[in-house]
Amino acid sequence: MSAAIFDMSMSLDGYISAANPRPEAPLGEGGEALHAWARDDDPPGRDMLNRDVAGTRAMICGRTTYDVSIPWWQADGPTRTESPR
Amino acid sequence: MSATVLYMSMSLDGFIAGPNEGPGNGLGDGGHRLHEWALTGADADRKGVGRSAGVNGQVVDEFMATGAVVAGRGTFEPAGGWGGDHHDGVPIFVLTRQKPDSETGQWPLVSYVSDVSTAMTEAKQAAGDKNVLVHGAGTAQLALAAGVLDELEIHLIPVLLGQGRRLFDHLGPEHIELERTRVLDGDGVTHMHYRVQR
Repeated sequence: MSAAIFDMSMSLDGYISAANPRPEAPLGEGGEALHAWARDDDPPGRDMLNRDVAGTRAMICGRTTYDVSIPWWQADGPTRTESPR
Repeated sequence: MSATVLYMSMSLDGFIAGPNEGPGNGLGDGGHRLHEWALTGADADRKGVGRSAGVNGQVVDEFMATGAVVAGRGTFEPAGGWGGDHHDGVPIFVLTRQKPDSETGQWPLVSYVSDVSTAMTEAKQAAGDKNVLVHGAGTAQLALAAGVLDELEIHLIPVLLGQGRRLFDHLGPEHIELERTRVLDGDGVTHMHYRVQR
């Protein structure tokens, strides 16, 4: 039986984006720091992300999250067939 | 070199006490859930902390080896002032803007300090080469804002309390970078140690 798994990057004080999010800085001022673990230059983080994505066959997210994710994941999201950039 | 170290049990949603804190309900409604890991018996109201096995016992031993205590009045009073002795007769510095009443004012190990930087400086002097145990959400917020908190040991409890008192309230917009220096996987709790970057 498959499971629905909530997956988020969060600061120790419970925030998932920084202050003042806007189109050119959708994660807010300095909010990219919450996702640094998943960048290409962090091999353990990148491996974990790839394992998570490989174990996923569908995603549910809100419209805001989807729109913000397009520059990173493109329109078909992280579970599309080609590997993420 | 000794460090000021905040030791707090926190729910995954960031609470360190449940709602409706008050006399006789110092941890708030349901707040005892956050401290089960540290109690050898099931009774969260018993005084003091028991010796748990394994990793949890190791963490308890660490904070019971500190050389001074800094706590806010909101922590000190519900705890009954720990009877005037938190552990091993180390000095206790209580952060407060109000004068103590006559009874608690007479405990020889207890000093009342109105300024968080003064409290931390005096506690470090009193602790010698040992670390300083810091307790309380209000004290943590003041110490982080003043740049006088060195390290955090967060006992992360896998529960969502939904309401209560938040540990990291009122901190303002500046980001405070933390270096994670240790993660210990305890029974029913994850102990996460951070050093404040300055």
